[in-house]
Amino acid sequence: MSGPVLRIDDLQVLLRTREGTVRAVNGVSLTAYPGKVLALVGESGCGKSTTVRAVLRVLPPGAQVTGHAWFGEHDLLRLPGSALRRIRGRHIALVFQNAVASLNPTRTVADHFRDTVWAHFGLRSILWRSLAHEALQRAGLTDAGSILSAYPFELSGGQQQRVALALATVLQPAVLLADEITTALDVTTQALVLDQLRAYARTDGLAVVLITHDLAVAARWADELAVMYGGMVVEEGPVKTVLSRPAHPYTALLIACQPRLDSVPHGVPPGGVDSPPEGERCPFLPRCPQVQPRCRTEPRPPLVGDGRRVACYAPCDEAR
Amino acid sequence: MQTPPEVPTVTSTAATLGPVRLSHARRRTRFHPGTGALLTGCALLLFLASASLLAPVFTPYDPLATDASITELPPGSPGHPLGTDTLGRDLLTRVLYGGRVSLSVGVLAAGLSLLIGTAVGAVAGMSNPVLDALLMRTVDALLALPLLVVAIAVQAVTDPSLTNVVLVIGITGWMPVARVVRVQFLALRQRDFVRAAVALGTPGRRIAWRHILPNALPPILAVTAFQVSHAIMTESTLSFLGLGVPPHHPTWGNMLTAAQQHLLTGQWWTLLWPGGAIVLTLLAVNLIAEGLRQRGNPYAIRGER
Repeated sequence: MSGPVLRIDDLQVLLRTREGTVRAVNGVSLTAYPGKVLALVGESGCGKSTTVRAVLRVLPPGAQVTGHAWFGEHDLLRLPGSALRRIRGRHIALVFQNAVASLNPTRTVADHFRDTVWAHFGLRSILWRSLAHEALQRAGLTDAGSILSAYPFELSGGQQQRVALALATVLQPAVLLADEITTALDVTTQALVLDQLRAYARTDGLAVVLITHDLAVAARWADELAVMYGGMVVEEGPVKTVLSRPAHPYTALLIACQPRLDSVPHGVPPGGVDSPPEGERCPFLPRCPQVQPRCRTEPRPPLVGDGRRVACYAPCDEAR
Repeated sequence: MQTPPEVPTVTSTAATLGPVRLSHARRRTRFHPGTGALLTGCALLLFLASASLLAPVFTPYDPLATDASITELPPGSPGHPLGTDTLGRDLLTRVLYGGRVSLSVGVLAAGLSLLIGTAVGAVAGMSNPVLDALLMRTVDALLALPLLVVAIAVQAVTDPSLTNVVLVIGITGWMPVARVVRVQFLALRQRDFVRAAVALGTPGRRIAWRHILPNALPPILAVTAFQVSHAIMTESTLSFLGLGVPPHHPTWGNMLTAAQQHLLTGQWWTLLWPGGAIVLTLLAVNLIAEGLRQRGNPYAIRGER
C-alpha cells in the first residue's frame, strides 16, 4: 500500500461564539490513503465537519486552529493563502453538507464548472466541457447536457447534491472530503453514487474522507472507520473490526441504537453534548456506562493500539 | 356483489398529458427577459438626451430671453405649445435646454456615486474587520458632513462649473450605496455557495465579481435609481448657491423650484413640464434598472417569476 496522501496530526480548533470559546476539535489525528474510503462517524456537534473544514481553512472567521495537516510536504495549516488556494479544489476538494446552498443561484451549472476549471487552469481551461461531462457521469448524472444548461433551482435536491460532488471531482483531486453527501439522496441513488465514488477511488487512487452519521453507509462503503466524540477520535480501525467488535463504549452504544429488523433497538440514542468537555478527562465520562475509578482521576486516554486503536481505559470485553 | 370502481388506465393518462418535458431542458427564450424594459428605458433616455442636445432644431427661441408682452401664456398658445412663464420665456425651450444640465448631472453624479459606493462597500465587505471598521467609520463621518458645507467650501476655491456640481453630488452621495453594498457582501460571504467556491480554489476577486456581486445587484440598482432623482434635485440647490450654472439658466431642478410659487397663482403648467421631464427620466432609469435586474435573475430567464 502506498503512503498516506493526507495526514491530520493533533488538530485542535477553537471556535469563537457569542457564548464563549468552544473547543470544537480537540486533538484529532487522521490519515487518508489513496484508493481508500475513510468514514468519519459521530453525533451532531462532535467535530466531524469542523475537522475537514479546518483542513482547507474554510472555517468561520475567528477560528483558532493548531496542529498539522500534511499534504505531501506541505502543512496546509501554515501554507500562505495563495498556495493554499491552488491546492483547494485541484488537489483536495471539499463537498459541503448542504448542496442546495452550495450552488450559486444566479449561475448555471455550466458556469460553476467553467469557473472551477478556470480558477486552476486559466487559459488552458478550454476543455472544461469534456471534464464536466466526465465528472457528471461519474456522479451518476447521465443527462449531462441538460444538467449543464440548468440553473440550480431547476434541479432536484438529489441532482444538486450530485452536481456538487461532480464539481468537486472535476479536476481529479487526490483527496475528496465529502461532508454527508448522500443525506439528501434516496437509498437507491445513494447506493449508485457511493458505488461509483468508491470505484473511482479504487481506479484513480482518490482518497475519500466520508463524513456520515449512518453506520450502514460506513459499513458498506468504507474501508476504515473513525468514530468521533466530543471533538476527539475515540476509536479507529478497519470498518469490519470496529463494527463487529467495538472496543469503545461509545461505539458499542452507537451500534446498539441502530434500528434492526430482528430486534428492538436497545441502546440509548446519543443525546446532544451540552458543552464540549474540557481537555483533562475523557470526553465520554459523563455518559459512559462503564466508568472505572481511574477514568475520574487520570487525563483523557490516548488513542492506542495496533491496527485498531481505541481511546479508553476500559475497552469492551470483546476487544481484549 | 358490487362492481369494483373503474380504474383509469395508465396509457390514457399518458396520452392526455402528451410528451413529458423537463423544465430545465427548455432553451433560453429568444430574448433575455428584461430586454424589453432595458431597451424601452434606454430609448426613453436617448430620446430625452437627444431632444436636449438638438434643442435649437425644435425651438427658435432663446431660453434666457424674456418678453414682457407674452407672460404667463397657457399651454397650446400659438407659437408657444407648452406656454410661457411669468417672465415670458418659452417653456418648451427652457425644458429642452434644461435637460442638458439636469440629465448630465443626474446620470453622471449617480454613476459616480455608484462607482465609489460599490468599490468602498465591496472592499469593506470583503476585507478584514479592521479595514472594514475604518472604512465604515469614514462613511459615518462623511454622512455627518452636511452637503451644503461641502458645496460652499468647493465654491470658495473653484469657479462654478457643471463638473463641480457632478463631483460634489457624487462625492457626497456614495455613502448610502457603500452601506448597501457592504451589507450585501457581508451577508452573501457567509452563504454556503461562496464558501464552496472558496473550497474549490476560486480566487477572491473572482468570488467578489462572479459570485457575490450578481446576487447583490437588485438592492444596488434600486439605490442607484434613487440617486438619480436626488442628483437632479440637488443640482438646483447647488446652482442656487452659485456652485453650478447661473440661476437664470434653465435646469429642471430650478424650474421646479421657481414654479412652486406660481402654483398658488394658477400657472400650473410651469410646474408640470419640468416635473414631467424628471418623471420621464426616472421612469427611464428605473426601466433600465429593472431590465438589468431581470437579466440577472435566473427565475425570470426561465420565464417563471
